[in-house]
Amino acid sequence: MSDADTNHADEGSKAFQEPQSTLELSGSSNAPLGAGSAVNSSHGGLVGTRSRLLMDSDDDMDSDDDDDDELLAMPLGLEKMELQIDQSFAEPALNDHSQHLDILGSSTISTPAPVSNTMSVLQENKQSLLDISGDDGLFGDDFLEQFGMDDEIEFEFKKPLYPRRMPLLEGEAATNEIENDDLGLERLSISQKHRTISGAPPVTTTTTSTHTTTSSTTIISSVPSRFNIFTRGSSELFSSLTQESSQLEEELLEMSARQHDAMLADSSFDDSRLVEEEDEDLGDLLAMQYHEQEQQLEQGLEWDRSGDSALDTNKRKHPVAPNPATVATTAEDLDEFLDQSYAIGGSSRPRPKDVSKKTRVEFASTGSSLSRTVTKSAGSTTLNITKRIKVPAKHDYSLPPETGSFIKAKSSSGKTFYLAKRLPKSLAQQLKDNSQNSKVSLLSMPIHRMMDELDAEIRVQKQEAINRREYGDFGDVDVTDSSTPDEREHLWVDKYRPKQYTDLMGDERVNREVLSWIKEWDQCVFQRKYHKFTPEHKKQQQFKEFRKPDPLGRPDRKVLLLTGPPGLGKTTMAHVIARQAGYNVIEVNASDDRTGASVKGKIEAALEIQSILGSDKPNLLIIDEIDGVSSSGGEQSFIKLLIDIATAEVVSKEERSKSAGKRSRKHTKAPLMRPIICICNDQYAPVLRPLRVIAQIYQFKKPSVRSVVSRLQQICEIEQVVSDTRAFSVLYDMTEGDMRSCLNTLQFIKNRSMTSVMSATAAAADRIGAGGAGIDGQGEGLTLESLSKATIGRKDQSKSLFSVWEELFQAPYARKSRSALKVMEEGRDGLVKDDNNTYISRMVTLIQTNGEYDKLVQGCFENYLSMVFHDVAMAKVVECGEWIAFYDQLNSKITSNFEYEVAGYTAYAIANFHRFFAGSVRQKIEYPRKDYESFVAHKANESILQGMALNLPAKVQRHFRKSNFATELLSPLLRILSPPLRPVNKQLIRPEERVILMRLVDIMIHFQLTFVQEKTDDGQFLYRLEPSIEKLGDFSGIGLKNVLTSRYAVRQLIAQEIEVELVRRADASKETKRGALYGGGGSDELSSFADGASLETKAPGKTGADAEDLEREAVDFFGRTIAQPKREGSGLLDGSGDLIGEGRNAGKKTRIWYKFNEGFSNAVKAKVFIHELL
Amino acid sequence: MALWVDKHRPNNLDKLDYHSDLSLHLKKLCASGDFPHMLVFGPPGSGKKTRIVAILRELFGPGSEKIKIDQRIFETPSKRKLELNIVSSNYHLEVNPSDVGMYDRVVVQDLLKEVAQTQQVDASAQKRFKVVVIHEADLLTRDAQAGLRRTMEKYMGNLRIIMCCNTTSKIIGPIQSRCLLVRIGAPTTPEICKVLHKVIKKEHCGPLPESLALRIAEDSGRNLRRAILMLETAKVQCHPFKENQEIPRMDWEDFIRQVMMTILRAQSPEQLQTVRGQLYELINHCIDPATILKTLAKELIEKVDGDEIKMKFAQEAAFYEHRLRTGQKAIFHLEAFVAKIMSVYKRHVMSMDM
Repeated sequence: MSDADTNHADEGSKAFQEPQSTLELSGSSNAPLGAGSAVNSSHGGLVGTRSRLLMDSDDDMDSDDDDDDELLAMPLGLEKMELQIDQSFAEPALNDHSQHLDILGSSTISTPAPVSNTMSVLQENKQSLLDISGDDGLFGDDFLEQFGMDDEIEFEFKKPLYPRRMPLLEGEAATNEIENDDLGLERLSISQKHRTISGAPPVTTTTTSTHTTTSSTTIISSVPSRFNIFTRGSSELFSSLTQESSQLEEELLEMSARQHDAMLADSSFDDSRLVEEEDEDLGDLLAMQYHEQEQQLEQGLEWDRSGDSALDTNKRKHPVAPNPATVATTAEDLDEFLDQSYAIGGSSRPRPKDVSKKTRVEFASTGSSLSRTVTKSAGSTTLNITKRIKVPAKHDYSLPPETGSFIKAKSSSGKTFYLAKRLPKSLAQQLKDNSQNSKVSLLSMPIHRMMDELDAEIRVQKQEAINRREYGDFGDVDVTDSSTPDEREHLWVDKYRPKQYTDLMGDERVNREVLSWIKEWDQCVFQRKYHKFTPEHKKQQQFKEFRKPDPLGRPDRKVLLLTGPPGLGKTTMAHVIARQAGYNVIEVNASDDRTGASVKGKIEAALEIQSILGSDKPNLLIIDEIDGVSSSGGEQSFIKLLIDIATAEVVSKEERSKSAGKRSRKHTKAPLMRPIICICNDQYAPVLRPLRVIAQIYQFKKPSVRSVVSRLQQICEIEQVVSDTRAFSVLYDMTEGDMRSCLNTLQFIKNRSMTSVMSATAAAADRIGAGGAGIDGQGEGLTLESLSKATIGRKDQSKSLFSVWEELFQAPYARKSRSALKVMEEGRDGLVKDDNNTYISRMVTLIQTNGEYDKLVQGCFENYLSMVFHDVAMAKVVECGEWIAFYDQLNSKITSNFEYEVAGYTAYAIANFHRFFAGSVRQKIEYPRKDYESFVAHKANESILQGMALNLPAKVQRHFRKSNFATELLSPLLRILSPPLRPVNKQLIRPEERVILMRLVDIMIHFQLTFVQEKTDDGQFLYRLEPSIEKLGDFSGIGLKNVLTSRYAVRQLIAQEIEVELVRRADASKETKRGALYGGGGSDELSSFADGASLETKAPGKTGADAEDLEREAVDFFGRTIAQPKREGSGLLDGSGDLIGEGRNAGKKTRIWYKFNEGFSNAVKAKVFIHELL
Repeated sequence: MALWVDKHRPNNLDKLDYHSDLSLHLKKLCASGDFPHMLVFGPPGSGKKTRIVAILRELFGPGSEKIKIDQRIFETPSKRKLELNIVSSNYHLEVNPSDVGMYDRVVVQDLLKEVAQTQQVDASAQKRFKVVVIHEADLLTRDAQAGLRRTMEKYMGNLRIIMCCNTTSKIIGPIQSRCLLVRIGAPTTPEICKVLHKVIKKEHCGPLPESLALRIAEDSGRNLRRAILMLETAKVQCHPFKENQEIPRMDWEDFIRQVMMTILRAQSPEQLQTVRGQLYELINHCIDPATILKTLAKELIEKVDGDEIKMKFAQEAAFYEHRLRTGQKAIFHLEAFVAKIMSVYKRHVMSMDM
């Protein structure tokens, strides 16, 4: 075992440190034990800190290679005991901790009581097993007989629940004194005059006869760790015990795992494989064994491994410990064992059915200098018995057994005993069966029954504590009671905040993975190897081979992002886990200034600087509420900074030197050396987008109702709030699983009831007298009524649109189970609880909490027709239409006149959908899209129209507006635009067709329409009308397609003509302008035309008509008007005679001269004479 | 060259083809010198705008025809930018404030004040005032109309307002009382025929059969603009005209006829859903919902037999059109109307069967 491991173990033990003793010792033999623990605690051997001493000390015992790991040594609280476990354990540091040991997994104990010869066994929880005899192989039954005849051992059982205490030792039945006082203390005393059995199986314990301290053995049954929070509130004592018990539970698990190992080893499996398989099989085993506790146990196991347990290390080093004698570790064993011991004891009393399955034996000692000598030989343990022991006649214990393993015990007189260990055959068989097929339960009693019993017991326990506190409130404050009066001022949220990993609620998987992520930093932070062991991690590791491993051994994703709604304990979890993993938590939250620049120094300090004051733990940075961080700041933004830090590359030494040589321009950042945990509510906040890429994200989900309710129940019991399970689930519903909110509500209710109680002082006096009975009379508890009054506890919840729709369209009787919350609401509304009558208020509340009336109405509107409903002559639809219209009127009042007064009625309009169309069949509801689609289509079309209308000439525009464009102009226009034209070559067009074509071109130019060539998806070209008013006139079912010519050739022809015409017109206007200039004033017509053209209007009247005709004058190839062909052209264009005449007149009056100059352009123009050429 | 409907639009009061006594009256009014504010109303296609243009020409001469379009940007108190096209000449200004929806008040206030506060600069102008033509005045919000009402009095000196609308029912009383109400009735069928023949003659495209002209006039619903467009369409599709040639109808009207058929074919929620799709399509094609409802009702009334049910349909149509105009979401009301029609019709059919 390396030093690191030892240190680690110490840290771990600190985490478990409990200031109060878990032990109570009775000082004298046969002394009547006082009520409660007071007497015992007066002799209390207090334990400072305890570490779990896992006694599979093979590693240091050279000789022990196949030692029985399962046998855990029990530390004896004797000052002069020497316990040598291993070198590291013998370090003085260890002595600060009392040793907490298990014997044989859970089964037996032996107790040292050196001076008083009295052993007090404080049994805290379940009925425990205290037995020295048994068939577990530790002691033979005759051994006990030999010891038990004339000796007296005193056991004290504090709990009254199980009066049928079994006599533990044969022959003791007669002498057992079973006393039940009113506090329910049962004492079973076994006088043991001259000896103490100290059983420390894997170790040889040597005790001297000069013991001055007393020690006691505490037997506690394991308490599910989630009760810890509960217990802490009331009694530290109990808390510590349960906490320990949870620890023990973990150990049990560990051991069962190892036991499994052993099995596997028997089956001659490869060692290396064993470790892997064990984990998986262990899971199965656990699932079978512990049902719902599985998670916790696994977690505990993980804690063990990932934490600091020496056991872990040992285990890894010695995965196989094939000692059949050590298998009897599970509760099943115990059960078996118990039966046997009863049989042996020969007691006339039947063995209690409800014997704890997981009884734990714990030894603690007060001794400050605890030392042990452990001598171990191969496969054997020596048990040192402190007093003289008569050697039995029946069986000679002075000789080692011939077969099997045995425990060597030495008495104070120096006599050595060899106690054979053997495994009951039936048990061995059963275990084997279990491992083969996991159907057989390891527990003889279902876990839930155990839990129930445990609960009952705890309740009684609490009652005691309460009683004590009752006195404390009015008298002296009980020291053992943790709740001092000023604690009332504490928020319960803080009071019951999980303090350690096992307290955590919520999704175990997330907890585990977060812990595992933090442990991945171990290599980087603590310079120790962290072994991933879960199958998922194994997979990851396989992938890792392809990935570049991190040179510092950090996890792949350097930042952890925890997301989830508020109140689920993200922050608490981060803190608990970080502390558990041995970090010093530094938190940055929204209360701090979090702009990039201001926080930069802080983060870097947290990550790179080690505190010299206070703890020497490494830092861990928790950035809370990171989604609230501002995104501004560009390069300097907080997130950017964080990412820079997280992604800083590790620069190897060579590279560093290289870059140093190059005097790298950019200062290379130091790589991140400490874990960072970010916490947010909304992982999709835009500001977090870059972070999400690099962060490991874990999503929190709300805990199950059961877990929340059970924890609330515990808290209520501690806080003496009379509660009601149904109320809890209502509370859960109300808060949507928000634990914090639950607690705050509870406290509010409690405080209210408390003030009423405090005012009644007389009642207080009564309570003192009445004791525990006073509780019931105390104020009001958590009931449905009180919850319904506690409006503040109500989260402002809003249901999603879909759930509202579904609710609207679903008849109430179709919903099989109505939640308690709804029942309560209806009750509060004071309505008759008749489904047919309550829908209005229910629906209205539902709708109002959602608040998105528009969407709701739209969704209803688009879906109601597809509902299944019976309707005579559409009466329902018509009536519903009335309501929709009513809604619309309200809505228009609100939006256009801002009359928000009427907004209150809108929900009622929507609720009517439920009245008319709610059906028993759950129907699919589609999100309303049609309206939006329609809106978009309408907008698109409108913009086309708008564009078109705006491009119209002013004169047209004043008559055709957007409003009547679609209804009046569009349809005829499209037809006017599609005259019958043959798709022929331009040159082949007949004159009459040409007239039509030119007219078409003219109109299209007038409306600024054209055909645009486009390539379709399938690669074909087509001409599209632009702007695409085609679409506007195209109704489904009415073929516009045969109206508007769509032939490619025709459109091409038209498009070409349009282009030509446009060029012609442009040139014509230029030409006429020029002509007007050259003409020095020119003719009246020309000037008026130019005027009209510049105004871009086609002025009506004669001049305008002339001007238009002029525009269409034929031009030559270069766009210049040709005097002679112009006439022909215009003749062609216009079929009407008088217009042609006008055009001619206009042409004649225009005096324009053309001079032809040879040459490409004027630039090279020069006069050339014939003689020069000659 | 524009469409016939623009090309052959008369541009002065003398050329107007019908309501000649009104034209005479208007001419006198223009000459008199105390030209009042005017509220011109009448059904679409009856020649309101044509007449307004003619009045302007009568007032200001040919200069009023030199018009230009410019885009003005207005800013609402909430700093929102509004764009509005304004047709203007030196003497007048035409706006359609309803283009900017509920912000028309801003337009009316800003624009009118600006115009009213500047005097006519052209000394040679026949009139000392300028004219603002407000199109679609019935779509003005109450705010805008209220804004208008004081301005009309205050700036009477250099501003006249001519409002053009289909109905006066939406014009608030104070404005109506400040204006000279000029109603332009729709042309009668013979008048339309006369105009059609005139157009054909001007276009030199052969004889127009009298029966065809009559049919066009009837189909147009006494809307002259529509009649001329239909004439041109008919000409394009089938040139020399035939007696019995098909007169193309409006596509959307055909579509509404389909809707009507759908309604009468079966009455069930599924059918209603089909109709809803069709109604959406109509709305998408920028057809005014009120027009949809009105046309649909007309088609339905034509189609069904029995006075009682016709009356019922008309009543429902009126009821739902009112709702439609007061409400916001047209589809709700259109569908409610269709549902009601379906319900009424179904009951009617069932009672007939029995």
